[in-house]
Amino acid sequence: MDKNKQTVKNKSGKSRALYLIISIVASIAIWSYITLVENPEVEQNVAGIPISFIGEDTLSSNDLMLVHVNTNSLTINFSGKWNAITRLSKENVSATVDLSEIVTKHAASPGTYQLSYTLEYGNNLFSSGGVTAKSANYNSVTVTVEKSITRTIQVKGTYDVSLPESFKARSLEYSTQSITVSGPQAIVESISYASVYFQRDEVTSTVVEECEVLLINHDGEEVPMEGITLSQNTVTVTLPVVMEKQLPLDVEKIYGKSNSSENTTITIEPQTVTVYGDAEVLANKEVIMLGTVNTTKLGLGGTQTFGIIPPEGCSIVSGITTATVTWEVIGLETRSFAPSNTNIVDITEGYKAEILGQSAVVLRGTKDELNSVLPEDIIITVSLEEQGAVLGQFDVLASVEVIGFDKVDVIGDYIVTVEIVPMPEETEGEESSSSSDFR
Amino acid sequence: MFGYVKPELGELKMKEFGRFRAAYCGMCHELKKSYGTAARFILNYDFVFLFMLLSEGKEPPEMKMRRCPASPLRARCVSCRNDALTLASGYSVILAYRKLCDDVRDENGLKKLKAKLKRALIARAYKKAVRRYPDFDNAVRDRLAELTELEKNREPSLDRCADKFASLLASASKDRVKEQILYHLGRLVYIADAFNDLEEDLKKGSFNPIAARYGLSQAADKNTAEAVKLTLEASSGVISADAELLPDSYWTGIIKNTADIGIPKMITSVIKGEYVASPFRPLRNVTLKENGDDI
Repeated sequence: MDKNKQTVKNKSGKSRALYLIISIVASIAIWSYITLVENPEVEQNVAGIPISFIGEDTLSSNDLMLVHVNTNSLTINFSGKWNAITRLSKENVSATVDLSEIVTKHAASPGTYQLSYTLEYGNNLFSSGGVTAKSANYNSVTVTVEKSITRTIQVKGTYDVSLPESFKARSLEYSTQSITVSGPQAIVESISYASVYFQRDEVTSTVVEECEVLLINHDGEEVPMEGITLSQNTVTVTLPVVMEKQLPLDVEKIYGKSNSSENTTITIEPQTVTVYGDAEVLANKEVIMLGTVNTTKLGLGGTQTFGIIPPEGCSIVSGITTATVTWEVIGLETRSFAPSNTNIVDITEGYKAEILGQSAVVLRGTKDELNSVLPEDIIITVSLEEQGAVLGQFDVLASVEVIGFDKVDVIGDYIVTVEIVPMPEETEGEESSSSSDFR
Repeated sequence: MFGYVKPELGELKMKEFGRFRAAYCGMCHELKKSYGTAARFILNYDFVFLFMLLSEGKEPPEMKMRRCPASPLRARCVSCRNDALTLASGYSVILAYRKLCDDVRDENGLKKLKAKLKRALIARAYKKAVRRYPDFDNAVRDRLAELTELEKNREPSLDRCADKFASLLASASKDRVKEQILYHLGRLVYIADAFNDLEEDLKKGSFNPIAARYGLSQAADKNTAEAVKLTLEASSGVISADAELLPDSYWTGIIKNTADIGIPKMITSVIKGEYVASPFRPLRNVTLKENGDDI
């Protein structure tokens, strides 16, 4: 009994599988017959068909540009054979609008136009006309074109930086003072300027920043960039940041025997200058040296003008270029002494020298010391080593020494005019004379 | 530095009081609309005066009834956006931000922290305002930098310091008469603020232009106070005279009230050492009609 039940069960299970297979095969066969043999006419909507535009070059050559389209896609109802219709999708269907029609068929002027579109099918499967577009949500595409203009607009910039003490920012510099803007006339004409802006926290050196350009209209509002073309989208701005430092002016001082910093006043006008420049250069700079003041060249005082040379790469804020140094010796006198003790040395053998002229010697010292000096205390030595065997008259710088007075200065350079002549043969061996013609 | 320029509310006509409040509320709404909620908190009388001064035309500006957090239940008449309002609000943001930058640089401790926080809150508003009005921002920044330099060098000339702040404010208008009013307003505010801060600055050892000018090491004596009063009144006189030269506008009554009564009263209380910045408390039963006509 059980064996029979099992057999019936097995047989029914096998039949079910067989019926399943048969039904699948049958449905495939029926489907194939309908699609391949019958291939009925069906309709189908395809949505999201993209619209593309051609002929924009023709528009732009007429100074026009497309600014608005009423729709970016179409929904079209197609009818045709089943096997063709089912292959349609927004990926293989597109609509093309020829903008050049505005020029060729219409007025080629700004305005709104209704243009027809042409459907194109991706893989040319339906080029023989297997599919028909029966209806669409839009039978034409409405486009708006405006006159396209180009303008040059000014770049205006501002910034927000914090500078530490003694740092200054100079004027903002731009890589370009203006940019050109192209686009719809109404928008471009509303633009007032191109704005650039940057912000930095503490800066101690020159800032170079590439800033995005924003267009601002006459009401101060930002202009949307849609449809706008700029000659450049960024402008490089440079903010020179320099250190300013006030530096005192000073001079190298040469004192004589009779004077020192205690009895000599040196006044510099101006006393300081403010310079600006690179922080690294100025950080270690504490003074500007003007030059040398030699207080032995003049008697009791003098005035000199020096050019102020700022540190390398730096400039003076006020534009001052010279300084005046005035010095004065306090409590001393000057006195002239007739020379009485002049010696000529280093005369080349075979030659002799004669003194043609020499001036008074000017000494500086206290009154008491000068009163004590005698002319014979003043030794004048003229060395002709440099002149050698050259004949003629020479102004020779002589050395002057005041014997026994170590706090008395000889003021200025002492020049003696000598003449070198050959020694006469008959007078060979005769020594040179030293005359002290006082002029 | 701000809050010195306000009308004498008790001497305003009822209609002018309503107009003033419409201007004040208009500025507040414009600041919020253009620059965000945080920008509302910079609002003060001085900026409202700036709006009224920059306005032109006798016709009432467009008005609307609006509610706001300060008046959530009752709608108030508010001056709507116009050229003067957008200009004044933009300039106000720039001035307030630059003032906070100075506070961050000059103050210490808690005051510095507060200034930093306030500055951060309006930084975005400032960035927007600066895009719209770069020339004004550049002028403000340059004048303040020059003023900082003078203060750093302990400039003994009061006029030279006050001139920098005055020039900064004057750059807000190209009209000759308004430029003069703004110049003397700036000068007056700078000197009055310096006199107000004199004792505190002397305690802290900070630069004070009045202390530098008169060689003060302690509070101003009677002679100094008199001299300062004289110079303030000189500027006040110019403002008053120039106000008469302005063409009639919707705000003329309030401007003249401020010039003839408000500012002189402020000077007197500053010199007496009694000046206190008081909040604006409008009379609640005074308003304008919806179309801006007076009640």
